[in-house]
Amino acid sequence: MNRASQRYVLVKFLPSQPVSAEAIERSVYQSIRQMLGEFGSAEMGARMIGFDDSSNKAIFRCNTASVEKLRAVLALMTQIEGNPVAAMVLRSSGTIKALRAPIGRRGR
Amino acid sequence: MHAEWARLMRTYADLHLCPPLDDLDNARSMAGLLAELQVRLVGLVVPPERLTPLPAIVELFRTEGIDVAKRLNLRPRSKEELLRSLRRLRGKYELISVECSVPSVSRVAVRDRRVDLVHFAGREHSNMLRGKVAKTFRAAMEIRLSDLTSAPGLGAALHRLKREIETTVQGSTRVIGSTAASNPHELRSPRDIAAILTVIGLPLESALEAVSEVPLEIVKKNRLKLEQPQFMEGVRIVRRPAEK
Repeated sequence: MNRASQRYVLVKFLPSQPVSAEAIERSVYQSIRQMLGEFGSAEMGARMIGFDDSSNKAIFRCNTASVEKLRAVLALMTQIEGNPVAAMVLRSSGTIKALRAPIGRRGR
Repeated sequence: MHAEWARLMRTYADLHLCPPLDDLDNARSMAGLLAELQVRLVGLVVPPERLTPLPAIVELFRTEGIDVAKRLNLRPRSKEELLRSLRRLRGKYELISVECSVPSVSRVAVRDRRVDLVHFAGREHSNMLRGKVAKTFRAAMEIRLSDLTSAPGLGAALHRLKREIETTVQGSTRVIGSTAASNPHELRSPRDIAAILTVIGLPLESALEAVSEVPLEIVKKNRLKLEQPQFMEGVRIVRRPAEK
């Protein structure tokens, strides 16, 4: 069976106060579940791959068919843990290599 | 292959920014962010009393490589008020948007060729778009991200917008997406706005056009009209015969 193709997106977060990678990850997953439900969330298979504290940029991976939904969910996010935040996708790529230069990989 | 390349090289626009005109720090961070998001054209709300001299933030956007179109938001309470404002101000702005909150205003605004964009508030939206009215639109319909992010009921707002998008698709009404941002936290990438439009039912190609080709075309046409008066719609002087 073929593996489902993935898409990687580079997202810039603009928080009003410093936020941790964990808080961002938690808020994004919560927004996805809230807007798409458990089935939509499972279908999207979104996962945060990396985060750079200094620039507040993160890389997310998701199913290729759900990349527009991920963009929409991120655009509709307005707060993280009660603090105003803006999230915007800077780039989207089929390989992580193109996006990874400024961002380290998260420890697994 | 060429079409795909053209799609990748799209020029994006956000035709609705309303930052405080005297807050240069706010405008500077917005301009920097817009440049990073590869936005090349913005519509800046400038009230008539601030038209001359142009506010300093216009120059600030231009130094970041962002073209600025002057935009006026009209909120008329009657048809007469709308027509009066259009007569007085059309020649001074590259973009005119009308807030349709009264049926009599909406009926005129959607058909008047001096109106570039219409924005519907609340239930007025669905009423105007119902039936064949959508087919008579001359103005483009503006969908603002701020309507979704600032309203309390996101689900209901998305549902209403979804129904309206269906009607605009049937009526071939032009749609544009904008942020209506007044600070960097309200800004979003035009490509993300297109993603929202796609998720609520607009075909991907139309959604991308709503944040690139359609706004660019509107501004281009209006600039041409402002530079060169037209005899009638679509007719202008290309060249004059050489004098002997």
